[in-house]
Amino acid sequence: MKLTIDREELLRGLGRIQAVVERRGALPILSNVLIDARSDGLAMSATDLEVGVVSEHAAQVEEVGAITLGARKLHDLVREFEDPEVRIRTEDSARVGIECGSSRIQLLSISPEEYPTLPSAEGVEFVEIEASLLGEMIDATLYAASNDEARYNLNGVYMELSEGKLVLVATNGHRLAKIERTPPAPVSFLEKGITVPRKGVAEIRKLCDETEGSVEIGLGEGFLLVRTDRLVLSCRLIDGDFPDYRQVIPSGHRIRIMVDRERLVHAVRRLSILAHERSGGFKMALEDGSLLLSASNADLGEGNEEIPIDYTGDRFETGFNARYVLDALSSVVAKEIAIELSDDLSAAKLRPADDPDQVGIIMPMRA
Amino acid sequence: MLIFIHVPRFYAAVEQADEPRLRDLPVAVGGDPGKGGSVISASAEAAAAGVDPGMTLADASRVCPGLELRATRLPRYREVSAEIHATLRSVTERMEPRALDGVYIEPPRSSEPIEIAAVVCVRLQAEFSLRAVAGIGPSKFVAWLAACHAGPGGVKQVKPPEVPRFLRDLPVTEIWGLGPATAARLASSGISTMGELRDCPLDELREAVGRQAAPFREFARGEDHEPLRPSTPVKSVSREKTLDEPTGDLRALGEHLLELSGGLEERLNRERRSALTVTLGVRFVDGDDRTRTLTRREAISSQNELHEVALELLGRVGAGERDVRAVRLRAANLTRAGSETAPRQLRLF
Repeated sequence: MKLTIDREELLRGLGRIQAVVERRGALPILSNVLIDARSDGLAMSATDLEVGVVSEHAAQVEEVGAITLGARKLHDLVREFEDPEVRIRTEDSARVGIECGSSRIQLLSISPEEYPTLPSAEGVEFVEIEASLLGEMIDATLYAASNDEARYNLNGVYMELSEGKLVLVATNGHRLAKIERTPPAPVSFLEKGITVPRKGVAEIRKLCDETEGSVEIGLGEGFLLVRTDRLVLSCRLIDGDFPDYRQVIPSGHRIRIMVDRERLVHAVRRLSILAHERSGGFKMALEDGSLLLSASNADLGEGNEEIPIDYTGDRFETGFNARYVLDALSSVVAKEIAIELSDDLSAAKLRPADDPDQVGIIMPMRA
Repeated sequence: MLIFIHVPRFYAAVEQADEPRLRDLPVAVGGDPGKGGSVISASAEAAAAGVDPGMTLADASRVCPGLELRATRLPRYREVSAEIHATLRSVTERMEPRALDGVYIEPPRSSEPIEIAAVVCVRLQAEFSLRAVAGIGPSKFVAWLAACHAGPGGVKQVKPPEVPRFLRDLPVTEIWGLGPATAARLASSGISTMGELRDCPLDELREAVGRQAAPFREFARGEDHEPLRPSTPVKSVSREKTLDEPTGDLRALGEHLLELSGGLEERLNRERRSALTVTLGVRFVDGDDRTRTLTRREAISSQNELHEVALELLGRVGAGERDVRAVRLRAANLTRAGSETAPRQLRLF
């Protein structure tokens, strides 16, 4: 293999895969990037067997062939190169030479034959979806996914097509986030829902950011594939049942209040500093005309916040984890938030005042 | 001040509590009557009919027709004892068990010991159907003696200035470690009460009882300097099982883990603890041991949650590859369940 590639192009490709390659190195080959020089350019692959990326890059290929190199070290080196062109060539079966300007570097390589095969996009039907729409839906849900390994079926974002709408849901068992949007084309392969792991969803989110216009999504054998014109991202699906989220979304409410989002965010943030370290809880009470928030900590002190609201009725008191409330508030951009409550042991529903299709559900804390 | 909580005739009391029909009936707990077993514990009703611990069960049945005999169930008595300790721990962590039927507790400084003692007795009656007595005193010995003289369901407090008067007329045989032989020697010197022992010059006392003279006299004066040695709260709990037939079938292993999870749940509830860390250990048929641990962000204590984690660990331990002979589940990193200071997060699922 022998090729020349623009340093910026190479750096962009290597930067893209850093979050994908295996860090802990249980299998050394998974810490490597596969560089495959073809007559029409270069394909760069990285995977941790859960998430895989194959990206295509323009390069002048003199000899076709493939190598694998430590992805992290290669990225660090290329970042430090100063000249605009990088030349890469196979020296022998175990070494790869890299040149840039006056730099001559030899890196040890692992045979590309050991590199795992990434899921293929062949035969998969893809559906177009606007990158900005998919990105928005991920932002509205990913935060709520569980990172408790013991609840692996909740370690991702659930995606399904329901009544013609694309629905994304994530939960950690205590709080849940859901968003529904109408996709430009029906994503029929999601009629039976799938759960995509957190890491994969985070990579899709990055891809959405990098892409103008649309991305394509398709379902392979046990994988969700996301494709742009120069990149294919594959995410292994979680093999576990996602709970029936509809069951826990309150269908009604006894109290609804409207609150200025910014104001509420700042108040809860201040209280979260004082909240009990372990539980992170704060109290929320409603009185005529006021939303009263408070937190106390035996080791620190206590704090109180009052936000004027349009409320008349009996005093109502409950408590929440500050982190959960902040996450839910930060996932929306609306100026005003509607909070719907029933009683102090039932879930609260938070949603943008003008958007019934995006909700955050948070279970209270019991003192 | 220390409080000594005591459940008199503990084994018999547990049998009566577990089998309500036995309440108010004479009950004796002991070994096998056919093998010349003897009475270990007798209920108040049995004692009133002349049944004493140490008596053979056959003799006991003779002196008390209608005596209900029950075989000793030590694991059950230990279990009840642990439950009582867990209840007391909600009052104070400063506690030291004395055998299965008694425990010293140091009440919080701000509290009134007699109120604490009364509350504890009421709770033991309400929660365990056990009639406890409580003694309050400035030392372990005085608190213990006070409990012995409290009467059924009673609480007796001996404040420091009252100690000499309280001890004065009590027999020397109530001093710890002073047996019948020593008592007989003291009696021949004209000493039968603690008051008499206390007033006896040390030299004379030494002639009668030897080098134990000084400690006995200290007890008789109510001078017991033995500090409370709080038992350390439980750090971890575990359950294990050796399989009758080794298996590599994950479904069968999952069933065994469900059973172990149930045992852990029971123990954690008794200790009023939840666990952040769960460790699964398996022993393969070839003797190889393997363990895997998982620490969660939130403490768990229910059988389902523990089982869920155990199954996750089972997948990591390589259990399907070889037959497993024994499984062990351990819950550690324990936190106080339902602590008042930390509100509990309710669940959606």
